[in-house]
Amino acid sequence: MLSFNTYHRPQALESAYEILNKHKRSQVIGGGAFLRMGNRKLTDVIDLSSLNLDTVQTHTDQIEIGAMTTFHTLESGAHIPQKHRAFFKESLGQIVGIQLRNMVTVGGTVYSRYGFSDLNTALLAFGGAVHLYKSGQISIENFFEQSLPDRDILIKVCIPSAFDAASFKSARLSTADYALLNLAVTFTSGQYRIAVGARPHRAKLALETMHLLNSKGLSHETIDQAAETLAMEMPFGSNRLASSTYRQAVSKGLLKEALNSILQEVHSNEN
Amino acid sequence: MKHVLNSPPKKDGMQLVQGYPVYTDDIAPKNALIVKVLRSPHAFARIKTIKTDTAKKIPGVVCVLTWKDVPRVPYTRAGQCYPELSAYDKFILDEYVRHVGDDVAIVAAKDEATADKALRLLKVDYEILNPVLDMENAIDHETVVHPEPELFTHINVGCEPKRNIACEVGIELGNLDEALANSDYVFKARYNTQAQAQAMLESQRSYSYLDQNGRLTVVSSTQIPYHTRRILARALELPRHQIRVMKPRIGGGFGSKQTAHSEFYPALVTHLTGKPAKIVYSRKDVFRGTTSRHKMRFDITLGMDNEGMIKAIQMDGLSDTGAYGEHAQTTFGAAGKKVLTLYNKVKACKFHGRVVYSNNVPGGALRGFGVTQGTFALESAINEACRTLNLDPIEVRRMNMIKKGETTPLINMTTKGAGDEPINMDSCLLENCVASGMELFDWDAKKKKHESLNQDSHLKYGVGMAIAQQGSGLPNIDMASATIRLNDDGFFTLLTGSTDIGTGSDTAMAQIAAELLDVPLEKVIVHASDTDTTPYDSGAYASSTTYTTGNAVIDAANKMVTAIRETGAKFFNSSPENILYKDETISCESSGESIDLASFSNKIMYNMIHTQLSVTGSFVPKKTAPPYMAGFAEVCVNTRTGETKVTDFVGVVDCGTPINPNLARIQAEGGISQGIGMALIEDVQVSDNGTLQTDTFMTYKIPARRDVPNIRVALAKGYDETGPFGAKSIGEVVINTVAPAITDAIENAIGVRIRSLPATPEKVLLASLEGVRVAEENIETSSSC
Amino acid sequence: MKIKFKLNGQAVETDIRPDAFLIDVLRDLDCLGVKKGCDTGTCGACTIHVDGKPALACVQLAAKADGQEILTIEGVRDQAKEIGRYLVAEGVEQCGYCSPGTIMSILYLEEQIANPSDEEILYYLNGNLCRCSGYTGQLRAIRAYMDSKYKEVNKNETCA
Repeated sequence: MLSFNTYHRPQALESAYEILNKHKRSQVIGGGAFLRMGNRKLTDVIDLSSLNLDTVQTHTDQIEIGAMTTFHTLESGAHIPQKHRAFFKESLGQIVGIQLRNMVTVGGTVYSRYGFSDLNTALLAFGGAVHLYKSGQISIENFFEQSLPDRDILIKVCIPSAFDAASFKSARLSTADYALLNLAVTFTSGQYRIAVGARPHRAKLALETMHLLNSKGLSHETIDQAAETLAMEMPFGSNRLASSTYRQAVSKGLLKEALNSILQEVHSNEN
Repeated sequence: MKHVLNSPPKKDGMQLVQGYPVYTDDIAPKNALIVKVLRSPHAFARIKTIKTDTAKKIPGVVCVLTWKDVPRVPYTRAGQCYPELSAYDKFILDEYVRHVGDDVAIVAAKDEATADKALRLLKVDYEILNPVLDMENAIDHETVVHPEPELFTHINVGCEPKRNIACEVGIELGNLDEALANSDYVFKARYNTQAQAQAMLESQRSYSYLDQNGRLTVVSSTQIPYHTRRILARALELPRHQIRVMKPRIGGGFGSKQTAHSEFYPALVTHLTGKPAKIVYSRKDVFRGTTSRHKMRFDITLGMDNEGMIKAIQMDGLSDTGAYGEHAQTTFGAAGKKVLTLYNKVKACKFHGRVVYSNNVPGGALRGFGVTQGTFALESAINEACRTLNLDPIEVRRMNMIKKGETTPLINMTTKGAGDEPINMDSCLLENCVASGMELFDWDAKKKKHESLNQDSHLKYGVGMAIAQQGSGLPNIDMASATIRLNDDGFFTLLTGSTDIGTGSDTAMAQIAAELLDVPLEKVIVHASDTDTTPYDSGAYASSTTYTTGNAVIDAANKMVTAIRETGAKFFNSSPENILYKDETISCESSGESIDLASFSNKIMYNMIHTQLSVTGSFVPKKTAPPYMAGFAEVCVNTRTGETKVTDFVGVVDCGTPINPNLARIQAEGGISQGIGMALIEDVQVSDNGTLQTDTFMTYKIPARRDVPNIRVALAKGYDETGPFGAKSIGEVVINTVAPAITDAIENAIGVRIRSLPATPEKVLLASLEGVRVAEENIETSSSC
Repeated sequence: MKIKFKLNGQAVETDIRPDAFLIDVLRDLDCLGVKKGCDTGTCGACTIHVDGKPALACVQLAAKADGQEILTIEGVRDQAKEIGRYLVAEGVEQCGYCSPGTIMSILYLEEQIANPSDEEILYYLNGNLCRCSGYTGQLRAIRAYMDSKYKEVNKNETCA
């Protein structure tokens, strides 16, 4: 049961930051959809809706995604570049339903670093940076690895504006459920980035596997090798959804699916 | 026929799609006190003290009740005819809490926020006791779930609470040992079905108030108004005549509302304060505070000859009823009775087992009601045996299943009041269901196609099938009655105690009445489910409404036609033999006079004779009239992930005459969808200390739109002479074939057998990778998330 | 606190608790077609439109509604009747609890995609759970609705 005393919708980021740091039992909300599931007794809630953080801007080298951008915008917004939109649809399309995806925000999900998040895995595969109000720019992988900056506000996420191919795969009990494991691969200018999430822990880069593919290139042989490497390097855990044994086993399968998909995409691009 | 076998829209359809306020929470008094229940965080504990002073002092809190403030009368919450087969093992509130979610205290306040605040300020000091959670270890466990002396049963069902045994069930026919000894092949395996949640979209909720005569009126989202009235009377120590129970439109039940749950709390508050009161269960309350399908385990032993004749079947079972025993005996009994009778050519069969108490959330009624669990076990065993003997599962069914006109003494043994005369299944079209299902599904062609599809692909296809039956009402137990009145202007009121839980039964009953009364459907208005005004009906369970209530409606309609003709005779100064009633016209054949029904009804009410025709009919089933079904599943298994997708499902149902074919078809499609959930997705997961890990729709998933294929249903052209216009039932049988068909299809696809539901990607993948045929039952998972 | 918003085309001002959820406020304002099925935003029974896009009233803070345009099933009665007729004709609105939310999703789908394919219908409606119907019949009904609507449109175009 959620309860709090005061709802704020500040008109400036500085006010938002002040309120957040003044009240220790306060929380910034994006869509606020996950608020209800906690059992916290908060005093203040800070809604960022009036700060124009819901824009997505494409520049030459990067796309700036405002923190209040919803998942549904990413998968369907006309102003989102078509290739990115398709990849976001692949990554986010199994999250409950369009209604919920219309409420869940990039900022809310990224800042919370939820383990089960599909978006976080996709963003980590893109690479790029997270911009916090006071702490400034932090690379996405550092943001997920390091301890959280205290009581700061996520303003935007920046990802590369171009990529050659990308694939997102997950294993799920049903089409609207949490992923048992998720995995995203991007291929840009000859370099692979592979992120694995819902391990059940949050998304993490598969550095050794990436190194293997980046040095040896993508072929049917290296796909098999990559799968074995991934299973060995990535830490997996158990929870009610799946065991670490399963996660390790399925990581291979998901990587193979993703890499095969990339192989196909690259070949069709070449033709 | 003008109405029966047609598919008129449901009478409430247009109002429902527009979102009209016709459900319990929509019509509750706006000034009703909000009632909330504090629920136990522990699986087993004794309440040492509850401090209520702080909560009581909050402005707007009207009452706070603990176990010391409520009548100490044991009852059963089970919606069954009296005397029930369930133990009287529940108090409104007790010193002991027996499962996570069990009720601890009741709070009533002026609004929800105040009630929530009051709940938070209750201070409970628990003596935490060691719970018994594993049903396999429950019997003679040192923890006794029900130590209280007040527990009793009306009927001897083998209830031994001191040993945590809720009941024992045994049925046998012939000499099992001999039959097994004479079998060429004996197959043995253990099967487990999980606790599945009903997950209807509308949770339990009810409100209560004192009417102008000071009588306690309860409006509830229930399947069992009459049983609820009786149970409330006992629990609150009120005479039954002081209580009225009504059901408005409700958002589904599937058995969840065949147990009384929410009604006690507002009813007690209204009784004590005189004020209207309302409770609306949250989804967490539903998971923690109501019921789910009984978890069952069956050890199946089959004796067969090499050609596929089944000589012997043994079902040895265990069922977990959790903290309370509602429906414990009835579901477990059904798992044997309505499963073994499918195979009438065996030389011997035996069903035996016990239902145990534990500190889990209680089991209860859920579509299929034990037959689903038993069918999964037996059909899976037969399918597995077919594989080992290299026999065609469809051919083996043909050889062994019950056919039209056949019987078995088991039917006599399992039907109340049946006597010794052979009871022939004259309307059994199971053979047609199997044959036409196989064709519609394209069984042979699919198998051939899969051979080439599966080569060099990580996606493997497979097919599987199963058969099942259910019952239609409960012979010599279930009763339904219906009253029909002729109003002025020539329209009829049909009063029925039956409970339309969304299925459209009100409409189907109107169709039956309109057919015999020979009027357009809109001239039969239906008023249902009100214990003050509608005649008795046991309620919506046991697939009884179409069959039992339908026959009661026929009885009433026939009586009405007779009454019209008798009154017509008086009207025309003639005798009933000369009077014809047809097409809303009463005519006197001898004199040639006639009058239309509307004018007739006006005249007899206002001008002459001065009467309103009102008749009541009733019906109790005497014979068992089972519906039958054959289910065929095609799956695609992703060998990289273990994920299974159902790519096609065909169900052919023999439900006798479908009174409303559209509604019958939707029942089948809906039941199959629930079956897919049970086979692949759904699982009420419990952690080591008895807390639910799945208690919201975020964590407990039911099939979403993209989880089910285009479900294909056909209705066999059935007819049962004991049914209304030949109808049997369809509500429950439709879920039973799904899980066994799917798990056989999975083995067909990748050589992995799932004997413990659900068939999760984990179970499938790990078994496949390990090269193991039978997947492990318990996968090691931690209870961290 | 006070909030001001547009509800089904009408300006509304109401007093709320800061931590109230929109579903309770809407139901208090007599929008009883917005149904409570879960409270985790996972069943879709409370689907409404917020500023033209589908959202879930049970997990939206009421305070967020300040300045928004909210549309519930009560505000689309004619369209609900039109689509509803097809659902009812198929027998597929059973308990009816999921219907208003599903219809709100269908209305959004129609605005986004003219004459959607079966797959698009399933994708757009995947967040609307139904426990009664098994979904297949709902797809038949929605397909029939779309076909009749777009046949008419095509007819008009050819006649023009």
